[in-house]
Amino acid sequence: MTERVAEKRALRGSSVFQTLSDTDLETIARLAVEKEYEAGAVIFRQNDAAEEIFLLREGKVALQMQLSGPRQMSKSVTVDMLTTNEVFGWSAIVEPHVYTLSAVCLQRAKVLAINGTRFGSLLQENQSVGYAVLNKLIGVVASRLIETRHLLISERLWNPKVE
Amino acid sequence: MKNRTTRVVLASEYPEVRYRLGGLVKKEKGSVVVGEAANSVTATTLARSLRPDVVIMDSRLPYLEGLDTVALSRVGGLDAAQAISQEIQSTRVILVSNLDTNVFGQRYLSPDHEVYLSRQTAEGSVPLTLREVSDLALQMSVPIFANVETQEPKSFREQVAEDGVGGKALLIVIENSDRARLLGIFAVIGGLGLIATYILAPIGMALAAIGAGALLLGVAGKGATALWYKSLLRKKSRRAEEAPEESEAVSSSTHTDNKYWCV
Repeated sequence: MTERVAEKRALRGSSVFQTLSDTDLETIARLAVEKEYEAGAVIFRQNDAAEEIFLLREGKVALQMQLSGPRQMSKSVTVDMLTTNEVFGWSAIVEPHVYTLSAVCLQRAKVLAINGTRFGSLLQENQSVGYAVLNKLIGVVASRLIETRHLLISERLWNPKVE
Repeated sequence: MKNRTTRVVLASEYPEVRYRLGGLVKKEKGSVVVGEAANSVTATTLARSLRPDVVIMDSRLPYLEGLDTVALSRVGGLDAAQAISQEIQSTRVILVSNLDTNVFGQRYLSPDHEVYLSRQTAEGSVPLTLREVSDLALQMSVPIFANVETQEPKSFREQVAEDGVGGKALLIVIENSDRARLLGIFAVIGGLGLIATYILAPIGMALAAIGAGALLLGVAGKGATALWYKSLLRKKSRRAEEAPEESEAVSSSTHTDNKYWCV
């Protein structure tokens, strides 16, 4: 049981899990395994089956969207860059459980990989944990949405074609 | 072909970072900065037109313009690095991802601070040289993920020992100069102490005089060594500069002397 101390501490460091009780953190920690990736490694690819939700413990990860254009011109566009304590791979707890983006390590990364199916069941069974986690996740999603809107608006304002 | 110049394009939004990266390039023998870009669109355009051997790119790079309050406007580094790596097979792209913490994260980074590239491995970070990067297999179409490390400036003695200019004799002179200075200081203090006792004053005066002599010798020794060392370095770098220029003139006649400042 003592070996879960590191995982619990890591979970506590993330804004998504920090309000949970020690017992709840321990339950989630039991669903998690620590993984390491080299710089440049792909943690998951867009359209892969989403089986795990991740907490970044060390390093930097870029989330990229694959755009396929005409004549096999495919292009990767980075939509976010994550640093320590950020959670990614939410598709593992949201239907249809397919990753909508790819995650690429910009630096050697240490992550906590939480089993998506078992974590999803936990959120359903323990509604106070479910509410607390989803409430925080919505906060993170909302702040990213606001940032994206700022970016969209500023680009429209600066683009000389849009007047 | 052995001494071919490694032509480098630097890409970072911040002039301070480009300056630091430029210093890193300058330090490597036979490497030259041929262009600078402050956003990913310019970096890609420069890579296409100049076909450099290496592009060093900050991963936090705006596409065109960075908004100070929006972090999302600075996520263009990886995309540009991937695009250049796939499109221009002869160009190696080094994507650096810790510049925000390592260059801006430090309160005071003097111009003398050592800056070098490194690769993270399971065993720790390994230094990465531009020559090593440009010699990598040409079919490699993915960026090289790296970090920039900084190090405290080296002391004069460490610098001489590392450069190997002047050989062991120079190190012996430096060591003995330091020793003479230290002994001189002790002798002067001891001599002054003896003068104060009045009876042993003549011995004290002699000791203080010897000490002052040793101190002067130490200071002058180190000063002269430093001057001599600088002149040796100048000669060495002049020789190094002359050599690659000749070979570059044979291997390629374009872009070598042109520096494109598209920022």
